[in-house]
Amino acid sequence: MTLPGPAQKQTARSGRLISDRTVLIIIVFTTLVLLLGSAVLQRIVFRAEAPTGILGLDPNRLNLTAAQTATFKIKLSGSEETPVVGSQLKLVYNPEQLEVVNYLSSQGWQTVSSRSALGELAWVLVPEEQKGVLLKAGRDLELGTVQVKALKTGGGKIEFDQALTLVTTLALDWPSLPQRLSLTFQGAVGAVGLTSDNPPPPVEPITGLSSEVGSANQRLSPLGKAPKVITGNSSAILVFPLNRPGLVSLEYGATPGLGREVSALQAENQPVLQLVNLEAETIYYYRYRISEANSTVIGPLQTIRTRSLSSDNPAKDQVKAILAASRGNSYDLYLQFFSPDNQLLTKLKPRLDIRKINDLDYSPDQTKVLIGEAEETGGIYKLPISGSGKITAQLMVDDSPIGWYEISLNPLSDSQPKTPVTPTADLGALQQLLAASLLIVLILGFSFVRLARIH
Amino acid sequence: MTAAISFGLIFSSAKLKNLNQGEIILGGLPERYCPKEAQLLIVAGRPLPRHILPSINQEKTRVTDRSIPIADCRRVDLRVILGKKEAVYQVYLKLPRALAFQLNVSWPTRKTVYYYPPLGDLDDNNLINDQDLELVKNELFSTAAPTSDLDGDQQVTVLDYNLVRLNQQAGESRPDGQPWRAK
Repeated sequence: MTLPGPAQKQTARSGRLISDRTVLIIIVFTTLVLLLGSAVLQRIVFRAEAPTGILGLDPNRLNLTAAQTATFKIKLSGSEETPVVGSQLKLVYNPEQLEVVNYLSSQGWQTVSSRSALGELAWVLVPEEQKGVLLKAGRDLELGTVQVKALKTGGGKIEFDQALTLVTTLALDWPSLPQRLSLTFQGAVGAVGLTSDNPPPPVEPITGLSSEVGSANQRLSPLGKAPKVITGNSSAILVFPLNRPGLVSLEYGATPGLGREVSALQAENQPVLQLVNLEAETIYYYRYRISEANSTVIGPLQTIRTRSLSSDNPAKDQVKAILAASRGNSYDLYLQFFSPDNQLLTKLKPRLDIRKINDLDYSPDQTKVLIGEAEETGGIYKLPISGSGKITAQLMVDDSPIGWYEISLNPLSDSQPKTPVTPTADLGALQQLLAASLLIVLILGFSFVRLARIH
Repeated sequence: MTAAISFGLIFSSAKLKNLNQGEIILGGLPERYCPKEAQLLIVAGRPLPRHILPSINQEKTRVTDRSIPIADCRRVDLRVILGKKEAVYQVYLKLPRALAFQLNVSWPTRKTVYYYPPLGDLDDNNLINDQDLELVKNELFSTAAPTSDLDGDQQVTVLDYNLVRLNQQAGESRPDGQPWRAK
């Protein structure tokens, strides 16, 4: 047995030292690569937003190596809560460079039908629940995924044509919803150039869909606009801006077959219908019937969705309000409060501190003569107010100020009664206006001649 | 002369305004859905509870049972049919590819009646069900002349599919128990 010499000792020591350094370098290098990689991955996840038509991926942005796959998630996002009942999507790609490996619908959705051709894939998706899926404001709704494979290295061209994505066919005012369709492409592809120099395509509001379904509702409604609706977790309020005598009744139910009915005969002002004992987070169908002196209108089938049950956190973020005239100078202010994450808030104590009535300053103590106690039904608060004119008030919730509001206690002025508009009625109105103008001219002319004779 | 023109205009506008009285105006339909005619059945008398209807001889009270033209794709004029005789009528109307509905009308009326018929009865059996859904599903993406095109855009899309899917229900039956004639 021989002892190791100095040279051998140095080799062993240096070998251990090199090994430690290598490990250190590998750790640092790996960390950097991971950090860089995650940064790159984050950068290649981007959103393309467009109303209808083509959502494109620039070929320069999609740079796959041969046989590499990329998965794209198809998501819908919107700025207002609305039920989504179907979507028709079309994917156009360069068949020489790309191949669609598969396309899957997300949970809760089903593919009804599809058609594939060279460089093109089209399919129709509907929610499994007939009632539709609720697209929550500011949140994404995932419809499905598409996986593509590169046939050869280089930029591939891929476009989505989702012009027929259908948000809802039931809501009366859905064409006016500030809805955005958005597709999110997400995948570990070798995308390049995704910097602020390459912003997503410009965003425009959805147009064109309104002509497809239901736009006739708007013209034929005697309201001129849809009833104002706020929904709680177990109740809903519908205020009909009718402003003239009429019997309003409402059939409603959890299915299109309806089954429950509520009605309100309002001799004057705005009929208010309250639906109670509803289930939370459920879509309810309703159809209104308005019987007036000259017409009866049976409304289209529409939907409302009750809200989820929530905590009792103080509300700071969002307030929704409907003012409805009841009788004379009496009004009901219906209020709803939401948390920053858009959850309905209950068990609050709202009140209005009035500071001005028609430019006259008041102390908070005097507000009690105008405003009663707020009562809550299923997340909707009703504040009875009496008076007329304009009041300036601070909304308080649990003694915390929410914001200042100006309330006009003459809602009839901002929602004049609308008669059904038909071409003949329009012509009649025009003729009446012309006739009235001619009569005024005639009367003024006679008056002028008489005065001239007298003088 | 100005006064004469004014009174003439007022008179004619009043006349024009009355045009819609006694009409049923159809709403809530896709703009390009344009039915040319509808099946109309009018029965005199107030509606009776369903359980005693079969015992009533409807033939004696039937006013009319025929096809009538639809003006401007949306208006059904009852005045020509009902004249000026005062009575209460049950008016049944069935549009092509839509469910039949029934309205009670006290005649003569000064009212204009608006109705939003559910569309989607592709086989015109007065029932929107899975059979209709299957018909429209089979024609999605079809390049041939579509027969399931409800909204009149000359193609069968998710819009047509959803009209059928969301309107699934039964229409109003004829009071004599007979089926509605197919279009």
